[in-house]
Amino acid sequence: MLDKNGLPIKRNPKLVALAVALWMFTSMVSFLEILTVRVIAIKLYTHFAMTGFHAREYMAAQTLGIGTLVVMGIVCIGVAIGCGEYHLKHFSQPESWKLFERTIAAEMAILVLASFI
Amino acid sequence: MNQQIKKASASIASYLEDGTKIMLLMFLSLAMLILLLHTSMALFHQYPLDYGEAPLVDQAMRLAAGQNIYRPDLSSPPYTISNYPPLYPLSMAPFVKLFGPNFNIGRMISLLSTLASATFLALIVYYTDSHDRLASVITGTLFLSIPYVVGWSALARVDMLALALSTAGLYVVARWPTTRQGLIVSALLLIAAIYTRQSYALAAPLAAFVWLLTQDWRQALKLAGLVGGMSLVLFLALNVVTGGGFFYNIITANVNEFDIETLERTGRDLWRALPILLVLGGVSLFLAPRRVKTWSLVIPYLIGACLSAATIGKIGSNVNYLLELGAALALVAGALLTWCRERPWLRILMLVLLVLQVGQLLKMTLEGPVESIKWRVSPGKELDDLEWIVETADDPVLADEFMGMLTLQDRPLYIQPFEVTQLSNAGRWDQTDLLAGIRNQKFPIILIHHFMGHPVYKERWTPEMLSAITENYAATDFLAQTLVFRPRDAESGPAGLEACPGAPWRLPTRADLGMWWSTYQLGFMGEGHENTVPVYAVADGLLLRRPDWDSAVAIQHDDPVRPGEKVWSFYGDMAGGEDETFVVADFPPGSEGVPVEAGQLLGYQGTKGEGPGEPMWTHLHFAVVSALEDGSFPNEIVGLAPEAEFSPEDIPLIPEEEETPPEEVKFALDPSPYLGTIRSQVMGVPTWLPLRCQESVP
Repeated sequence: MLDKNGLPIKRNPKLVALAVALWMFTSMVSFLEILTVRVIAIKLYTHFAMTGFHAREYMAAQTLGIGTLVVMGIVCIGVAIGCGEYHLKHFSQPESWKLFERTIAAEMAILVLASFI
Repeated sequence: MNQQIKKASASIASYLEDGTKIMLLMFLSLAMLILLLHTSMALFHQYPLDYGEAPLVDQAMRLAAGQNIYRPDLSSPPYTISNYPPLYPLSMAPFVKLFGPNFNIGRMISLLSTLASATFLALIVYYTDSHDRLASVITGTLFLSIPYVVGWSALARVDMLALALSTAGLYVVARWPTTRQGLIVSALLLIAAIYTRQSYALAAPLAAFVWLLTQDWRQALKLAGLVGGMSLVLFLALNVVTGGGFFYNIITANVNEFDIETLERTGRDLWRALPILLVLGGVSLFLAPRRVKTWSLVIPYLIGACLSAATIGKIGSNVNYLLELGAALALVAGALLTWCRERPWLRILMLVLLVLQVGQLLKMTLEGPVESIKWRVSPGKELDDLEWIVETADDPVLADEFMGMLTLQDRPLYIQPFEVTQLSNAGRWDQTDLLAGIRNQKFPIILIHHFMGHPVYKERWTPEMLSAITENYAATDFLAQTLVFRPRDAESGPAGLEACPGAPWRLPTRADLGMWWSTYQLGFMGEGHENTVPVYAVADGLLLRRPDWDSAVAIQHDDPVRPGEKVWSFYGDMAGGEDETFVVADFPPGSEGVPVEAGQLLGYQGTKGEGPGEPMWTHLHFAVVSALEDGSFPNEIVGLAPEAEFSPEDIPLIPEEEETPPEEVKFALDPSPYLGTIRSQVMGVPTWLPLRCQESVP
């Protein structure tokens, strides 16, 4: 990356390591959370719709689970690539740290939610 | 150095606050999604969702027809009570006139009122303090996340409209406390709330009065005079116009017995659902007077709402008594959050606590109102069938939970059984004429709803009514958890039938509310309290009660269907919900080979359910069991193991194509050839059957 004068930006290696570690951590957690979101979606469905093990409802729950996997997979890839680009562009700026904080908050929210639903 | 630490602390706090805010908003967003799904299920459901909906639609129908809904006496039918002031049925009346009777309009009014209440609560927090947008959004959405609010948000009931009007009144007085217009509009809104539901005369008017008192005592007195004076004048006018009927319906007919156990149970439920909000409410009582700017509005509202909520101990009350408390607690949370605005670490703590609270609210909403509406809507076709039965029956029809099937067909209600039962219990209503009507089989059908585990029907029908119904009517159908009674005839047989004609054995007990067939077991549902409906030996034999059988006995007989063999009749669940035994003292645990005669008293039907503290309706579980080669009682039979007599988990599902049943059920025999009762081939799924005899016993 170059600064406004076209010279290479000097980066603090400790901050680089921290940013890379945080990006890897948030990306990995987001992939792990695919299954958590799937479980939340199916549990919500069962609360609203399942009155027994009727084939139709069971199949719908399965379909919902598969659909959630696909959507969450795309979302996670988007999060990993999109956030990576954003952090690279805004390295060590408040916006970058804010995005880390918000990503971690959202991921924690999903984990905590799963324990209540 | 100190400066640096402070700067770092502020920076970390800023990130943490933003993070917890994100978490809370995600939780609240999910709560809004659940509210949306729940209300859409309710809004588009055609049939009644609650006992209290149909009387309000009935009142709207009568108002639309220009009739008086506050009759001063109930000596002649219809035996209906208008428990609430007229504003809500009045708001429905034009729509009923335009579109015909339905529940959807009333539910839509409630939903819009719920959203309006949340908005007014948010605006109160926003305008009475430091314009904290986050705190106001959280106040509104927190209120909408409360399970009682979710459950009540789309019912055609008076409560949400009353709450919307009272919170609107509070908002106006909080925003414009010193203006004349503000005072008048606020007073009108508070009066409108009172004339929607009378219990709204306490919390909001009290809060408005104390709030004004701290600003301008003259305004406070003017408000008290306006609200009190106009309410009184309206009350007197309505009472005169209705010939005293308004007082009778609103006050006299509303004074039900108070049950302290209901209050305690509600307190426990409340603590389970809203622990953090309750703690915050308690904290605010001590903290607010000195520190929180809006204390003079919030604290009186909370105290008034608590007092209103305490009246939930009245028999027949529901969680609608907690709606105002929910609004007050959301307001407290918003006010405290605003107070924490300049204290970042405290605000973070508040946000974390609210995240946990909303998580618990989500859990309770899914387990409570969402499950409830799912089961209410799921019968689908059965509800259509029930409507058809009501549609094809002549008037008058008696019904409780599903009396709304009548209003849907533009037919007036004949009775509100719960209300008149409470009046009868209090000695304020004479049921003689109604009992005569039941005995004369004046009613082509009677519908009694069945809440498994909660015999609510005993609060809705007097023992005399129930006795008259079971003597003169027979339960013929069970649809959407509702027993359909029709006048007894030759086919249904007499009440208290002792034996089916031609059957080798007599019946073990009464089944006035029908039988449950669940794969070789028959459940006899008698009408009455536990330990009152007798159970008899079906034939002569030798009684066995193993040492570990708390609620059961078995009798060995000569098999009348398979001559030369031995067979056992088994009688289970003669125990209460807490496992106290109702087997007679003549047969203590450990009895073996005791001779008994046909018709000898063995014990009484119990309410034993799936576990302690989970009682069911009064019933007996009966089974016929093939003896082992040596004539003894088999140990391995499903459901008869000492640890789990007839546990539903044990009920085996036998696919039709399976030729030989599993080992553990091969001892169980179909009881119908022995008792002469009608047969059912349905396996695995418990099925309701009327107590009826076969035309010819094989």
